[in-house]
Amino acid sequence: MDSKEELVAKLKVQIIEALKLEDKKPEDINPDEPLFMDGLGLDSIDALELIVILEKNYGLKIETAEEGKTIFKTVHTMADYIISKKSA
Amino acid sequence: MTDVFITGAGSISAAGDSVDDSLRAIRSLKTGISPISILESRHTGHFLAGEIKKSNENLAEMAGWDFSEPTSRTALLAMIAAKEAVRNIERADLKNPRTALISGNSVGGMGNTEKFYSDFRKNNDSGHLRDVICHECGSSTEQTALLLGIDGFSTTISTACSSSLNAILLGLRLIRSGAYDRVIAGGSDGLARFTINGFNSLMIYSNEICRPFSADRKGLNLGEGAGFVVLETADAAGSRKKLARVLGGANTCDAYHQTASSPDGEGAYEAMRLAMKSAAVNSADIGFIKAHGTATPNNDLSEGKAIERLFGNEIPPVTSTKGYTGHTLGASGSIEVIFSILAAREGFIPQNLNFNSKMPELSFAPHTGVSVPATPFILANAFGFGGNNTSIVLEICT
Amino acid sequence: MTSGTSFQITGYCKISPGLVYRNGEVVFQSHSQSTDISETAAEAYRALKINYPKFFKMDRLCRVSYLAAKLLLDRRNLPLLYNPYNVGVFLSNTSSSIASDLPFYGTIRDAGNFFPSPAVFTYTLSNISLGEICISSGIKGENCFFHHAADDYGFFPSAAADILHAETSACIMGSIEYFPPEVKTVFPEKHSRNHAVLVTIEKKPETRSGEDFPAFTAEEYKKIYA
Repeated sequence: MDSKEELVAKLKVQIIEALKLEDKKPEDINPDEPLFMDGLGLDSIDALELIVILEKNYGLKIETAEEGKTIFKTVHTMADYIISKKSA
Repeated sequence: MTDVFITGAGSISAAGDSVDDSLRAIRSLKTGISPISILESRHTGHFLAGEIKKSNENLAEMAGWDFSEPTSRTALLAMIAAKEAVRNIERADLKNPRTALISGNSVGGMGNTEKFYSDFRKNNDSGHLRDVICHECGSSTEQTALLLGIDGFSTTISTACSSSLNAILLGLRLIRSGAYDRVIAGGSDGLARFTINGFNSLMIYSNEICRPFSADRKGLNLGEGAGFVVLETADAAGSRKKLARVLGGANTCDAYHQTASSPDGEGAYEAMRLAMKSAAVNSADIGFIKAHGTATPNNDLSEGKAIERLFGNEIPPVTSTKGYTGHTLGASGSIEVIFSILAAREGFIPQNLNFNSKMPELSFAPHTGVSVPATPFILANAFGFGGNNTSIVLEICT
Repeated sequence: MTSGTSFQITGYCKISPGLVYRNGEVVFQSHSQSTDISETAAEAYRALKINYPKFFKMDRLCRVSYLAAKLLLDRRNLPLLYNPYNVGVFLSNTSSSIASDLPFYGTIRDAGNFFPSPAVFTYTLSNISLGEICISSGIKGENCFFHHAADDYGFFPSAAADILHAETSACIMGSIEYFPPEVKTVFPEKHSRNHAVLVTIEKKPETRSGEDFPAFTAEEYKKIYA
């Protein structure tokens, strides 16, 4: 089981790849910065791709876009969610 | 300006194999949406769709197409509907270079290709290339032209869910410009795993039968089918019965997002407003609105808001027919225009199925119950991904 | 059909492997060996320092269409010169959205690795390229995508007068052909046909002195195409 820092590092790479943020490097993403609205400025389709990331890489299924809203607030909240589900 | 009439119509969908069948279904409030059973998919048996319960071989028989010749489900559906639409036209007139064919679709031959490709990937010697040579959208148009004996101009429009309504709008313009006297216009789309999985990944596919304009709507169900109309000048129509007149239409771009509509429905608003302007009708003239009404949270809100802005306090009955057929994608515009004409000619407005409760954001609820259209004018919408918004105005002929 | 002589060509942009060309001038020439016009578009995007954060989210077909349209609009800013609802976009090709159809299919093909991608699915419609041009530029007028069996550069010039709304004063029109490298093994000749040729056409363009815009006819369009 990865430490939180390792998980955050992995997530940043996966996010950049899946969302085609080609001009961003992992160090450009502040893990406490909002992913949507300001911050990275992701949109509704990006939210759906984040759901795919969770399922593909971590085996976690999010059923509705609504559920995703709190989980995908920041990279840290994503990591917290994964850790909470894996240790359950 | 030249009068352009609809003098023939053909359709096939989950609501029925012909226009008569479809009218029966609309009259009896019968949905054609059911669990998928023909399409082979991991979702078979539980995803709901407006699936036509016929194999491709059955469809080929109905179309009069030699099944040993490569084709696609999308093409077969187009052939069946187009054939029905032109049944009162002499073959010589179809062959005349003053007759054109415009067809819209989005799926093309994907239904065959996806079956072929998974086998091909495992083993390059498996599968038959003949199964994929009808893959591109234009192939369906070509085969329909071949079957009907249309030698003149034909083209394929691909603008997602507004494709076939754009085909009708283009047909109107081509006749008015004097380029053609007759245009067979419409579209088709077959069900495929590609689109079912795609829409599901966008989380807009409902696990219940769709509820357009209902507060508790959860999304769309896909459907399949085809619809074609014959557009003609009065001279070209001769003694053929004039079912409706196409008065005008407009197409705009919402320019907001690739798949979502703008919150205030700006593109939809302008498409409807410009359509009515081009038809020289006012909002008070409209007997009912055949909405796009997919039952996604986004579309119905956006379209509803646009309707409110345009019609203010005098909103005519608004109805979506997707509860009968599911969302037939490229074919939706033409199929639903045909349903509207059939119903209006019989003196009723198609009811919006599965409605539970009014959306809190809107001042109106969709049309349920029985009523006679107050005027002969119909406003019909079809909105496609990419923000492609089309609206046309029809007048029912007496 | 009646000809489109009521419009004039006020600009053109061509993208071919390694080269981006506008109104008779080279705007970008690649130093890489890439023969892929979507890579050329991405290189040009960076070299010209265009700042559009959504560029890389677009699929390969849309990156090419976006860039060609952007370069045209930088010279003739149609939605500013006219009411945006009177500006249209019309494209055609033979390759449809194969640029994304194949990758999307890759996400649903294998039962053991089944993760349909919503972002890729979005682009499995050729007309999304029209949407991207409109979203980025503010064009809101009529727009349509045509599929042809073969390159038909005669289509738009001859059809313009017949298919456009009377109030459409200006358009971006053209062909964006993109067969991805993945099809090379099955259709080797198709990938080599990739190109983008877009023009701006206007009914009554404002001209500066010395500017003389050719009529939008098949002959003039063919000169640009060749």
